[in-house]
Amino acid sequence: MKLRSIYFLIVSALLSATLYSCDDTLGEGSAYSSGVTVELEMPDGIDPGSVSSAVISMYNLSNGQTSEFYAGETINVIPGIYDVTYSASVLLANGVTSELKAVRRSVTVTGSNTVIVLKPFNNISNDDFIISEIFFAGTLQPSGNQYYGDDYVKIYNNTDHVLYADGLTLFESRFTTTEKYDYTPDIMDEAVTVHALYTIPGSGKDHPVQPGEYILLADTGIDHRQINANSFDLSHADWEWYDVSTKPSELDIDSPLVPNLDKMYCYTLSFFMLHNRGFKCYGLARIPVGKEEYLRDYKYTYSYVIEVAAGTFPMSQSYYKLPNEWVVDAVNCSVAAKYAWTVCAPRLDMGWTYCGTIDKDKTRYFHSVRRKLLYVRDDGTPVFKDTNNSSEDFNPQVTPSEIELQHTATDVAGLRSEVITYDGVTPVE
Amino acid sequence: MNNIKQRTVKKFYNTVRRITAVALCLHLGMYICNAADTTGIGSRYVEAGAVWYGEPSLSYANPALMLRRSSVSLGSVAAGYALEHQNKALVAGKGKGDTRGEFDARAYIVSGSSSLWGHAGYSFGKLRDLQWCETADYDRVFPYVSADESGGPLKHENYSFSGGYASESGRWSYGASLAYDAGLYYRDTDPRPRDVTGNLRLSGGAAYAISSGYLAGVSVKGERYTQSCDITFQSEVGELEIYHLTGLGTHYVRFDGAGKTTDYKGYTYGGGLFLFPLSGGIFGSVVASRMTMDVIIRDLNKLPMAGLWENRVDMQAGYRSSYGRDSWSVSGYLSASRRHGTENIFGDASASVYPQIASLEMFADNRMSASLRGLYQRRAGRGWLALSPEVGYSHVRQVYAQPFRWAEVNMLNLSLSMSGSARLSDRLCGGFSVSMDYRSRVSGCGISLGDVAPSGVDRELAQVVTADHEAACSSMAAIHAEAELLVSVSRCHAIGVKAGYGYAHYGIGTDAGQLLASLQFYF
Repeated sequence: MKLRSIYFLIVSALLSATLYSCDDTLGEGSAYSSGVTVELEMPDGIDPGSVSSAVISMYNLSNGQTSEFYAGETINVIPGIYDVTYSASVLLANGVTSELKAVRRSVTVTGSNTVIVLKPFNNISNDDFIISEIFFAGTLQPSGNQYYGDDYVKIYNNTDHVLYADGLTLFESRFTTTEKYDYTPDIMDEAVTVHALYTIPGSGKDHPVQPGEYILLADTGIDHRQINANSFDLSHADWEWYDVSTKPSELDIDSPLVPNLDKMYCYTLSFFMLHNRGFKCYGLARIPVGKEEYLRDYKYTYSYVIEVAAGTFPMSQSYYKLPNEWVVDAVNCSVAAKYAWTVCAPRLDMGWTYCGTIDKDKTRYFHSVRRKLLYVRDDGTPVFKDTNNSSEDFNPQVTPSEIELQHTATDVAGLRSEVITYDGVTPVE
Repeated sequence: MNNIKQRTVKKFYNTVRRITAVALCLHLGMYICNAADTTGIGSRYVEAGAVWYGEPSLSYANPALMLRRSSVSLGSVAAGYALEHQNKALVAGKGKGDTRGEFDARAYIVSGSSSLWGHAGYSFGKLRDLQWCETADYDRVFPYVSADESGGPLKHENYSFSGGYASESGRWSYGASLAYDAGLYYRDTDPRPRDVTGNLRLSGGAAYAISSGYLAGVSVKGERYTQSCDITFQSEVGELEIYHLTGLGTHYVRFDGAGKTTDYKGYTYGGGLFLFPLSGGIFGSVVASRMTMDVIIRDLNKLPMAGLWENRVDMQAGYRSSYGRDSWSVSGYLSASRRHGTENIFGDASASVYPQIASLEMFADNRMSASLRGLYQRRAGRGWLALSPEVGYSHVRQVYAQPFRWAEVNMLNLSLSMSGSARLSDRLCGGFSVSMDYRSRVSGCGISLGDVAPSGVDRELAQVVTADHEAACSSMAAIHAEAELLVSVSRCHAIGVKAGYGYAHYGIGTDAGQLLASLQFYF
């Protein structure tokens, strides 16, 4: 009797376990779903009735999937963290059609309904200089070691009229796009926090730049091929940024061939170079006040907290703020693996561009970010894309223009560049 | 300088460890010989190998029933070499085979109404050409492995120690066992994973004689598993992107390129019920377990990226009988497991702290296999011969929730094995085993990965998953043979050589070979 009972018990367990083993239906008709309501706060003077072709794009940071929703569509997405962008056409009162844009990054979507408030702005095209290229990654020596000093920034007159470069300031953001802290007070809606400012000298009309002309700002304006066979010549640069170093072991090179930019401020006591992995925001500004007044009145003191395994550390720092109204152009750079946020207001730059996808990415060398070509004018000069969204406006990780023009090395082995392009992608015919 | 010191100290400790293991084995050898001095080594070798004792195999998950595993004591020390080679990986993350050297010592001692068993092993070698996986113990941690587009071979060192004790008192039998395995997997070129694994297992059981011919038993077990997977790069000009795979070709996009140190921490709990016939009669066993595991990216502030759970049940029921020289058994085996993976979702990171905002169960791997096995053993002369046919069916279904992906494998498995062992003369004895396996796909095999990008890492991962699935669904014919010859050097001691060869051909064109050779010392 005992034996039968035990055997019955075992056979029962067998049968129940067999039933238990049937396949479940994870994901089949039971997908995770969270509702989203997007509320738009239109800028003054925009009639909601004049808005058309509205698209809301939701990029899921966790799995890399993008979902697009048109006006009136119900938005249901998998719970997660999203970058939400809005774009639409708007017919202005003067009869001109313009573009409305809005972005909110890192929005948490959970529960049955998440309300996301977006503040669209009228994306009026810039009537000043733009950054057409940033070469921050540098080159490699034939030995495989990194080479420093051949980084540069190219500025372009994308308009149809003469612009004057006098007083145009190149800046680098203080904050990195790869580390986010809650900086207090938060002034991002009003200004960019900067720690390096170099200005093109001039009294106002000393340096005219024709439509379709470039300005080349170099770290060191020398022929780098004399030191590194894999580099190129920057002795034809228009200006270089030069620093009088206070560290005898780390001196900057002052090229006699290239004039220096006026140094308004720089954080370093040695010499400035672009962030080699591209974790900063670079931009152009026209600062309407003098150097002394700026350094006196535009200091920004902020606090934040670092939380690490060793403990919590309150921090405080002071750098400078650059009001958004003064900023002519801004380009956020980052890498996908470490990207945390963009360090300027969305109206200046809604996106970011890159060379490499991870920290210390070895594929970044010999590459730059270059603005995308829109079209070529009759006179052969290019017109580049400028929608204040670096993710869309730039070709990431392409061959630098100086390497193309000088047919120098494109990799550590010294393979020469052969093709010349407008933007790293479209060949010049 | 410090490195040289560390290496010297490590070598010293390894030498001490090996000398201790050999001394322990020799000591055990003397003990075994004394405990079993009425039976020569040849007879003990032949008797201990009898396959009929191994059935019902699942019963020995209960340490209390290990008392019935063999009626004779036997110990062995072995040094060997094994080669496993595939011309194309069957599972990309597990590579194309393994080459290893092995030292192994084991003993099973019967003493009165008690038995004691132990095992110590050390192996070192190289796993060949792992692709899209830098994490060790693939089967245990999948689908959450760290991966890069380079991959390559992994050198490994493995240590294993286990021991147990079972005894009988009146109608009760009881037993306990403890085991620990440790592994080190590494590569000397970029990317340089260094995977350290540890697995501690503890089990205990009891059995009660419910009648003169049957034992009813119960057992419990606990297990702790850890792995740290650290990937470093030494090239000064850059690194490769590390991906955290999440199953069926997906990866956690947000942490692509971030998180080069991943920890796996798992627990398993389980237990079983057993009905065990002392000689002939019906038998049945049910063993169930639940495993949970956390996958933690250490260098993102110990971010709990994902979690796994697996419920598993193994069942065996059958009948065995023994009359005179003939013994036979027939049994059914059913195994089912359900493994689910949960991805944790994190909000906006501030100060490198990632707040968890949701958990989504995204991956499922459900398996079921059933088989019917017969065993016939005949004792003849001074040995035995056994024949065992088996027919089985296996089913695997994997699902990823969003974007929806699935893969299914249904296979029919046939197997026939023959083994034997005999004393050939007063000083010579030997054993052999030959098995032939065949498997074929049955209806329902398929895979769907939805829309995959035409290029890039998603495309590559999809190709890898598809290739693995094709291999799993492929028909296969295999043969495996092993033979061993022993020469007694005294009444209690023998030395032997063992050699084995295996070959498998898969319908997709993959050939897999296996070669092993070892020197044995029996006591």
